[in-house]
Amino acid sequence: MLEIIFISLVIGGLMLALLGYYISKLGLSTIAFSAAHAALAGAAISSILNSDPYTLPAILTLFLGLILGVILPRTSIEVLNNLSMMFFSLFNSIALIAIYLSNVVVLSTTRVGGLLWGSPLAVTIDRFVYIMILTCVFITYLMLTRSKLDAIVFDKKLAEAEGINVQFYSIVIITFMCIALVLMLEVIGGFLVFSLLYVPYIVSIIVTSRADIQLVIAGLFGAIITPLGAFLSLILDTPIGSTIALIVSLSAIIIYITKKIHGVLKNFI
Amino acid sequence: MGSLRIELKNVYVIYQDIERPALKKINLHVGENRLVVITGPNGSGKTTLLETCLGLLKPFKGLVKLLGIPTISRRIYVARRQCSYLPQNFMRSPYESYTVKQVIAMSLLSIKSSPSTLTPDDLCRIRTVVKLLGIENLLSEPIGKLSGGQQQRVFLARALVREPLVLFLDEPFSSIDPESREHITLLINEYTREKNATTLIVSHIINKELSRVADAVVTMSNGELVDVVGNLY
Repeated sequence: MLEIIFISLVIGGLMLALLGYYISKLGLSTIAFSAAHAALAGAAISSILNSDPYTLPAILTLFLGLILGVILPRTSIEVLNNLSMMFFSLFNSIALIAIYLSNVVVLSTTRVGGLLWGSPLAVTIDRFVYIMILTCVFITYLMLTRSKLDAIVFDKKLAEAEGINVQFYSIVIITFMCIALVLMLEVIGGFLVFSLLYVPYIVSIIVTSRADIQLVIAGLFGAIITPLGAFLSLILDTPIGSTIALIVSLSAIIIYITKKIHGVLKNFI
Repeated sequence: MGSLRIELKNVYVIYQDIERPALKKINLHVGENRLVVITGPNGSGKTTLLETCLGLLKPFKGLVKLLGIPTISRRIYVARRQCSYLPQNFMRSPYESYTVKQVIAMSLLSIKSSPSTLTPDDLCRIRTVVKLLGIENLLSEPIGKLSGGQQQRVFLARALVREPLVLFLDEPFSSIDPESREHITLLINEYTREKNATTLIVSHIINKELSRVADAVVTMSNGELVDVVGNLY
């Protein structure tokens, strides 16, 4: 079982990092933020209802993600950010109320713990299979559409003018992201899962300015740091989600400082 | 009379204020093998007209067709794949790391069915176009490191390499030095005639060469077409 948990963390970290690269480049960050909390609310309600951990979170996060994805080209970034933050507040409050009620009503302490802090025990065989399938599908999709996604990342308006359906490609990325969030939610914890979307991307832009390498660096970083954080959480007996997020963030800060010092020394010498 | 490539019938476009449309009562029909210059003062609606023709802006009232397809139709993407666009705001930040070759190749790859790679024919087309525009030695340079004039040539190369049926160029000479404007004007004209294409150029500068090769000059003011000189189709 340990091998399955390890592989799930490597693959899950890779998938979230690759998705995070496109989420950030396509300006969908606030949608990801609110979608993660919609998934959290769904998972919390599922724990009250004692239902499976996938269906309701997937419905809520996909519902929100797709609505915001459809609105995306019809509104300004400012309105979209405000809408996302409103939904973030809404779903966060629903999640917290449901978590509070689930402790009182069904005593599902382990599951609530998983929702809040993340738990390697959430990696079941079915979740492992879903993570593997989603990652394979997403990587295949990337290989097939990389040139179009690159054109959109470079210039959305120009890509649209050249006949690429920008909204369609954005919605597909949002859909992958929503499903990935649902699958990794109880492993990493609802409040920190989106840090695995953003931080690998941030690291990639610190390390290199070359767009074609950034995706690879983000993916590698996510795939290496996620199991490393989980391993440290076992040694230190700390929550898995917080430890992974802490390691990911500290690594990003260290890489940034190292790069700056290197730059200063290079100029000095 | 050749087939119509661009058709606008009684078109109104609004941004926010319904009382002050950005385009009003626009009727315009442009055929094949035509080079049309759209001119007028700042804020007259030239760029809005170009983006409306492409379907990036939808008409509030009236009908717009590009290559026979209404721009409100989902099939407009099919038409756009046969068009090229050089935007007015083309400048990239100094941190933009895509190389010139990647930027030009993107426009070719994006119209291919996936998965896509450049064929020898594509590479030959890229080499020919960059040579014509004098940027053949910049292919491996990050676009963000280039000057405004060089970047504008790269975007023009990106537009031409697709060999489009309709070419939309928004202020294509804005960053080009005066000596090179004539050469680029002739290049665009040659492309239009050779490929039987339709070219719409938005420009507030009409150089001598441009006025000589243009089939028609359309003047705009306050969102209206106020004057059309020459043959549009």
